[in-house]
Amino acid sequence: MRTSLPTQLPKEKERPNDDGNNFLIWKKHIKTLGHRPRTFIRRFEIETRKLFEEQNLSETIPQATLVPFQNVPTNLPMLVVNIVSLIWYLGRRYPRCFADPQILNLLMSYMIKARIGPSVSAIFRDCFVHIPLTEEQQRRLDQVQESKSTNFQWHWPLPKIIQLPARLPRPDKYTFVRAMEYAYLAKNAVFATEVWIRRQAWRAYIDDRIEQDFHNVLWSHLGDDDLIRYEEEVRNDFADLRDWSKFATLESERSDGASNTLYEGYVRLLYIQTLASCGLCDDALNMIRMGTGEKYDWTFSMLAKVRDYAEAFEHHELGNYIDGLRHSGIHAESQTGVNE
Amino acid sequence: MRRITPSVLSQESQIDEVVELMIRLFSSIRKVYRDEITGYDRRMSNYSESLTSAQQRVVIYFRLCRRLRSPGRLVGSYNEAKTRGVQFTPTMYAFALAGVATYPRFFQEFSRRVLWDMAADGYEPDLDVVRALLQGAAATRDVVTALFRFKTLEQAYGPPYMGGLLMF
Repeated sequence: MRTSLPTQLPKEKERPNDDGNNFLIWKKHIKTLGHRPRTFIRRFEIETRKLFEEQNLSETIPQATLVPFQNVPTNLPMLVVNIVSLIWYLGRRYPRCFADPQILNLLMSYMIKARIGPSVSAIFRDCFVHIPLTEEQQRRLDQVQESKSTNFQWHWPLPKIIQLPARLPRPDKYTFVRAMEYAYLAKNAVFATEVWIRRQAWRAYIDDRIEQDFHNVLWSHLGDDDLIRYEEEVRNDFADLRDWSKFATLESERSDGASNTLYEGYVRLLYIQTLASCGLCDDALNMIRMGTGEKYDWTFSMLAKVRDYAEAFEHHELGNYIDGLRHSGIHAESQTGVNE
Repeated sequence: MRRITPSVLSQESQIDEVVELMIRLFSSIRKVYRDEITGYDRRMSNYSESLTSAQQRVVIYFRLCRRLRSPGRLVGSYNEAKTRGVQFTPTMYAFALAGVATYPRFFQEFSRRVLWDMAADGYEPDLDVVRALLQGAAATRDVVTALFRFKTLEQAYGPPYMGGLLMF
């Protein structure tokens, strides 16, 4: 049974996959009521907090032993109240579940889908930032964030009373993939750089574990499947690791093998595209020169979108570099095949 | 050893071969680890229930259909097993439901049928069944039912079990 949302404007869906219950559609709805665009964020905050108070959730959740919701959400503010409050409730009642990043990944994914931008970066920072950065990484991060305000918190637009469980999970490959996908969707180069830096710290943390095992002569070489096992170990120190192999195989099957390398190439491509889409073509070119991080190289078709951005920003060096890849990789192979 | 995937296994004859192999494997596992099968490992405990060979074959077939992402085939085999008069146990119902729980097109009608059959056999939905029903409610975006199922699990099992159950 699907509940129709009053904020939904069926003939004006922004994207075919959206349910209509996203912030862009809600803004259109609010506009039809005569509100001005500059008040939208504030208006959303007021509405959600009002609903939160009406349901008396700040009193009921701390004592609840059952999910404290009765009604099905019928609009976006109500949906957000329920979701954020549910995380609070689950964190209090079942803190063990938060040893794994799945639930918080899901929260971040929902906020991305609902186009509630301020929450996405806040969730990423408040829920997943535990791995320390090197001095150089920290300096770079401070540099890019200099002019950006980061006042929002993960529970926005709800008040501070809402808390995360004491023990938070470490991020996993999907945390970074989703965060980077959002950065590209929102064309937010600052956030993309933050995600990239945090991801590098996370990868270094995994590599550290691998190195320790090598040092202790547990392994003589790193097999293709081992990286994913170490990722699982890092992601979930407290949970049962018996199932990692099963999940790894399923994930690999569903992602055509991309999950085996923690989506390294995909995340790099998204980062490069975000940089290029924001006109940071020099940085994009530097990233391209760093390679894919996979066993294959960049090809022209992979970077076709970046080529378009280079053209739009008239960055000839980037454009020429990508043009130079025309006869590499798959193109070169297929041409050889034709010639033969 | 190669994992069974839809791409390597599509023919009915191959499926039958795998079912035969799995029956032999599980039989060996039960012989070797009979004393170690406890309630802790839920997957193994499903096989601690004593099943006839026909029942065992049905369970393995359901699990295989789930692995191959073939809910239609599972529904067909459920109907066939019922027609042939195979006696169902709660474990068998749980595996049947779990195999279609993520397929909205099949779930609603099939879950109604299974619940009806369970009631006719005098079984109450157990933890595995309610969990599959919750998954199905989520897949069909039925918020009211999902809330109801979740509360049922919370009421019946509380934090010690729920922690593990929440991680699908």
